[in-house]
Amino acid sequence: MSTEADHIALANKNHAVLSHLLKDFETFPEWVTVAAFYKAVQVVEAVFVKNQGRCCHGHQKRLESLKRCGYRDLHKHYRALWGASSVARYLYDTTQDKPYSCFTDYLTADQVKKNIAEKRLHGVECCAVGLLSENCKKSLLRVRP
Amino acid sequence: MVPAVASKVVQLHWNMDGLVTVTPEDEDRFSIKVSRVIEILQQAKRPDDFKQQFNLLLRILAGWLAGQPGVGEAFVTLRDGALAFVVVRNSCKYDEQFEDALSELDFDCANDPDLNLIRMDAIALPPASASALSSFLDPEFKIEYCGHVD
Repeated sequence: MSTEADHIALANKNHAVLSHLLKDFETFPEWVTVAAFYKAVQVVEAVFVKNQGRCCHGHQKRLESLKRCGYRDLHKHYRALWGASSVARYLYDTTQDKPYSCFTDYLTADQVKKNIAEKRLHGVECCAVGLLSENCKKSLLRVRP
Repeated sequence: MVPAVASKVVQLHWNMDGLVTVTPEDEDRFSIKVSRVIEILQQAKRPDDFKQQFNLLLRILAGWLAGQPGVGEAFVTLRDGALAFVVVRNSCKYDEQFEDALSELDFDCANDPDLNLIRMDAIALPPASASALSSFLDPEFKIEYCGHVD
């Protein structure tokens, strides 16, 4: 099983990808959203390893564990990230008669930066730091709102 | 090759008190779908308890929908081996307050002792065409909230 530190290292790697994408957030808002979500996945996994002694495999099990284990605030931000990244990955509409046609109809690039990265991911990080070991808390790279 | 045909959507009517009714012509299909979900969610040891909880869940979701403006369509379906409450909003725009309200509902359902056999996730989507939404809806298990009966 991966350790808490392993998941933080993966979170930091995803953070590097996210930081890179954020330099040009107007070009790839979908991928900013997806990278933010996958960073949150690793942060949540680190929390599970530290506090539950196990990790979770699969998005559904992870969401379920967040709820059943009582992580209300963490779940609030994480579920919103999961939802937005699901829209980014799976919802694409080429028909003409509906208002939604692409991801930026849902979240503009600016909103992705502010609401997804700087609010939701930051929210996950803030909730998580209180649940991580001292070393991991220090080593976790965080989004700066 | 014969094209796959999606099974019929079961429509639920509901009122502002969260009372849910299945139209008489859909009752058999509703029973079939509940039996299917019992099998998929591996609840065969306690089918009657699961049915009771599932009916309670449908009423709770209806009661929640009654208090939420801006909902266009709502479905209970299956995704990733669990039930999914898929809410399609009238507006395209991401709504932070709506997302928080949905998270609260999702969390409360998961921690409701009277729903301890239910595994469900909730997601809000912008209004898209049926074909675009189909990637979020199981063609074999779709129950749609289709409006007030008041």
